[in-house]
Amino acid sequence: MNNSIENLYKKGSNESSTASLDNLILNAAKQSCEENTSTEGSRKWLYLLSTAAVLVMGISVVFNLQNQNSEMKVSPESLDFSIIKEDLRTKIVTAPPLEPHPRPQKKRKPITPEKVNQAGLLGKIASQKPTIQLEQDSDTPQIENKPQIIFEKNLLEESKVKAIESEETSAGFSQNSDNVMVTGMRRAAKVLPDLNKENNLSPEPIEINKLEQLFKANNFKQAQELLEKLKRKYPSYDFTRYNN
Amino acid sequence: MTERSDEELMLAFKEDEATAFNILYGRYKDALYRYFLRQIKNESICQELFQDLWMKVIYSKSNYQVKATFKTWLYTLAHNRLVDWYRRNNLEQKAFQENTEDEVDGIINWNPEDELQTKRLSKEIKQSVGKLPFSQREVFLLHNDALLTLPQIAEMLGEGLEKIKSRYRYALGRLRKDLEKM
Repeated sequence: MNNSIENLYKKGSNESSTASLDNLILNAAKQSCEENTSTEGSRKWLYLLSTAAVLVMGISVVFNLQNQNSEMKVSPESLDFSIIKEDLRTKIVTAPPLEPHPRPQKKRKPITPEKVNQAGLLGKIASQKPTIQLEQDSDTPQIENKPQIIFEKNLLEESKVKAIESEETSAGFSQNSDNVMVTGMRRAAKVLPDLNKENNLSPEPIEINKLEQLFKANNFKQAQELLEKLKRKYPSYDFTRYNN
Repeated sequence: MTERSDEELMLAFKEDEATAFNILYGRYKDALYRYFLRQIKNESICQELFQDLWMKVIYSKSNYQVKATFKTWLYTLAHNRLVDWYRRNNLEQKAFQENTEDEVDGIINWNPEDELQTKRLSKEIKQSVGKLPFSQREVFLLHNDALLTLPQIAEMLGEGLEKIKSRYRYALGRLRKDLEKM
């Protein structure tokens, strides 16, 4: 009985939606799909655009911060004093101008020959007599005397360093040994030639070499002239060995 | 090629495959239209509700998840839309009145080969369905038009299975009684 009712109902149920309604709904579905695909494309652009905008903003903020740091140094003339209370204003106006904090300067005493002698080294050099060696030239059959002056280099270098060390310690500075070595070497190289000139201690090795070369070349006239010149320049130096 | 299930089609539509929606629409449009037509008995309002429902399906596709069958989900939306319409038109009390008359047994003299008689009886039944109380009519339509089983209807409406069975039994009794009168 129930089945017959159900069957009768199903046989008579054939109503359907209108074609226009169907088209309306199907078009709406199609449109929603197309909109989604187009919005996905625009979303990609939006993502790229926003990333670029963030980058630009970040860079500009960094540049601004850098500029602000450089502009932080404001001159007192540009300050608006009207916003400051009267009593504070007078304090600011009457305050002495700010000056950069003075750095403690090294007080150096000039290097005097006494100081050098205290170190007891240049005296050594001065008192040192250059050794003259006579070498035989194997190419020439005639025996010829070739005077050669050899300074003790180590002693010279040591003297340069120690002289500067004594200078530094006397001025009241304490530095480590490495710095002393480096700065000492540099300064000694500058100072020593002047010291030699001032004190007329000994001739330069170049001058001695030149003298020797003139003697070797039997250019006695020029050699004598130079010798006289050197004698005048370094009166305390012993040139007797060149007299012959 | 095997036929795709409703859920597969809906997921394809979610991925912007418009043809998937066309297939789904073809499968359910008639039954759903009749469901509204029998409930409302006014063709223009029925079309409005029918269109609203499918628009809701279209615009909620991005949120669709396979929790229940597509058919259950679709008819749940339809039921909610219908209840809203009834409430908006102050027809709630009248519509939801339950008719608890005893089931009437009877015999209908129906010869399926007699086309004229079949047509006449079908027309009568459709009219009688329209006279059923809302709750009974809904169960009858969901079972016969939407082809949902009684447990599916119970799940969809959030009611007990026995209650749904009872409503369906009463609906059939009322229809039989109407036919006997003829």
